[in-house]
Amino acid sequence: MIAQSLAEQTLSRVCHYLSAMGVELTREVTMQALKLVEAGLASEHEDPIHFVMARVHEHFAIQKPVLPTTAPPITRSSMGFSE
Amino acid sequence: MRSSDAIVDDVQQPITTKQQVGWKRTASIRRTLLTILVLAQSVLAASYMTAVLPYHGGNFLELGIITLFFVLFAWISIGFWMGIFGFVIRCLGGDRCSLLRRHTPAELNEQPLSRTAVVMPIYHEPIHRTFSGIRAVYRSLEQTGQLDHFDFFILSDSRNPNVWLAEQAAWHQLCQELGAGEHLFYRRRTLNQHYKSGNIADFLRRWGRSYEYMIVLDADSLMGGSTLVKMVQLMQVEPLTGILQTNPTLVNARSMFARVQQFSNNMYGPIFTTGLASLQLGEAVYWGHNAIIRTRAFMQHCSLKRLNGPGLFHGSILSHDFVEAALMGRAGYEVWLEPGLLQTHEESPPTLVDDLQRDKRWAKGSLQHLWVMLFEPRLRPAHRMAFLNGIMSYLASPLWLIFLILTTIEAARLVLVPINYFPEPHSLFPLWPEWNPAWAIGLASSTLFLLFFPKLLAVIDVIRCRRVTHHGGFLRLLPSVIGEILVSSLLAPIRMLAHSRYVLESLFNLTLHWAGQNRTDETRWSAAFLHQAPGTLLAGGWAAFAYWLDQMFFYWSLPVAGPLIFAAPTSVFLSRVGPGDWLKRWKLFQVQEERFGSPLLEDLNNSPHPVMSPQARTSSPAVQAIVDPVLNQVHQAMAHDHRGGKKQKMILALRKRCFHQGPEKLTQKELSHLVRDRASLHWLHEQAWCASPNSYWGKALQRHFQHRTE
Repeated sequence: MIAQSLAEQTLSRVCHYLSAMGVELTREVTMQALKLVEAGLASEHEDPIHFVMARVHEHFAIQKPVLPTTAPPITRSSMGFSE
Repeated sequence: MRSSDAIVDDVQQPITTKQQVGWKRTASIRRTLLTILVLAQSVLAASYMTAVLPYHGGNFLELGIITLFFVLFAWISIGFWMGIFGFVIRCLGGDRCSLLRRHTPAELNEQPLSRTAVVMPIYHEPIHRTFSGIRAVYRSLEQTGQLDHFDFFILSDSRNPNVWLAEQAAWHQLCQELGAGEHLFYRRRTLNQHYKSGNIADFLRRWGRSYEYMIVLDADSLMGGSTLVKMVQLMQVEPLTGILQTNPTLVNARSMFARVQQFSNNMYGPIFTTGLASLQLGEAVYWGHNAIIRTRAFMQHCSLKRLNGPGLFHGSILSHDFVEAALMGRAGYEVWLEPGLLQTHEESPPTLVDDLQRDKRWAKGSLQHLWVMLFEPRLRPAHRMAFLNGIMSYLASPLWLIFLILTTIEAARLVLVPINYFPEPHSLFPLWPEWNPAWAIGLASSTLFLLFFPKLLAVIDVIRCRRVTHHGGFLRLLPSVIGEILVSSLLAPIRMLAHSRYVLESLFNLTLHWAGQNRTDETRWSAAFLHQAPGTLLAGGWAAFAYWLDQMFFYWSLPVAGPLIFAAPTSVFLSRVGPGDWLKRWKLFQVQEERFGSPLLEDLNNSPHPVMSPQARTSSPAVQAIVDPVLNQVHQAMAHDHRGGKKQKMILALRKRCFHQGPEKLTQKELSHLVRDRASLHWLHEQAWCASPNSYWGKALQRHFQHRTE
């Protein structure tokens, strides 16, 4: 297995994240990701992966997943014991 | 007594109606008839036993044998007559008093449905089976077009964070798949007070007021949507009914053991349940699942008090269902068992070991009922009898064991001790011991008749109702019935000994360990030998002693000693799935659902589920909760915010450990604290995604997404 370069690992990380968040990896999205990775690699003070992942939400339109309601509103009452 | 903060609307107290008077009169007649038949038969059998014994009850030993025989004969007579009642009623076209017979389908269909919660309390259940079951029930209900009247609640009491995180993930996946975001809810208790009944009570305190009815399912329950709808309709037209219990049939069996149980349940269930329902009528019991409950009445009257007696009779009530039915009855509501409601199922434990493990819990719970039966005021006599019935289900075993011990002593005394011709002092006339083997055989035959004749009636019922094809045709039905009788005869002594042990443990608050618990699907040889060793040794010793004592007595001992000696191979063989599948291919021990198929079962067994996904196999639920961006948000939504203090410091330390070493290095308790904290879930998620590829989380991400793309 060929070891991945840091650039590949960074790109892979951001693409996996986008995909997991439901972003379709179109040509435009991938190019945008590549630009972000490029910026990350150019950064001297920060780890590229950290750089990219810290900015991913600024660069992409990531929708928050719609979560189901865990439980309906509570209508509190009590249990009784009649003898 | 009601809690002071009670804000539940007062339930209109039920009033006695003509219909109620009608079934009560019928119940009295049937129960009186049953009592006369059972007593007369048992007195006759006991007098016969007196004649069989050499000294005709002339000493304490024989008096003990006769008394025990009377009690045990009465116990099996009840089962016998219940089977006869059921058979006769089915021949007459069903019970005219049953709820279903009171209303036409058109009348039921006119009923508007009220809000109903379908609740499933779970505790460390197999996640795939549990959620597939809910999925099947939900989809079946959806097909009726009445889904809007129902909400589903998964009520988890699971403690292991990797289990409840997987449950939460499965719940989310199921909501997505079914589009059930507004109808399928999940709630986990962090404090598991009062076991299952506490779990249900917690649900009722939070949401009970929003629902007119509650349908309780077990983790292995399966119910058709149309049955759920019909149950609600019946409750609507029968306002006096507090609990309506269905008779779940066993399905989905694979191992030999489960297949035999399933066949027996499907074959003999209809006549025995009809008989039971015909005697209980509106004073039936609740079995804890596959039943519908009138929520407000239940909340007002059925809270369980802690027992205040000594030893076993102190603390939480372990088996809540019978007690809740009795409390509902005391409040003036009716409790019905309705065998006519179909599409209601559950599953059998796969092995004898699992079955006995369940019996262990039930034995303790049932024996606890003795306290409620004796000291709880104003319960209906029928419910007190139901408690006695439940207690006898387990107490009968040690009574049989004592009976065997006494008969062994009697046989030994006859052989080893010189005969005393003058047991009465100052008597001029000798008492000659008489032994009449023919009478003994007659008595044993009559006992066997009581046990097996209802099974013959069940076969006749199957033929009469043209259900032979359900069981693979007559040529397959016959060997299946013979096989079932053989297996149940092999299992009876094993159960007797195990139940005796459970009763002893419960009464003296002891726990006698002699083998580890089998949790695999099939029983291993080593586990089986260890588990069955005491019974095997005891039975071997007893049979050897009987052989030394008297050859005839040895032959008498074999039906009990033999199965116990071969308990380990029996247990292993019956746990095997291979022979079970082979029998299925040959249509032996076949049941209706296997013959004609069942949409519910097909849905259950073809359910794709995330817990079976490749990620689930390589990443633990805790790792998934942290790395998966969507799941992380799901878990965050269900987590809590902590407000500083000592606990916050501890959580911060745990976060760091989890980040550097992974969740596997945390204890169950530590992990539980961590993944219940919303901020920690968020922080760990961010850190994991920024982690270097060679770190723990970098590798975890790689594994997770490697499988995702496969």
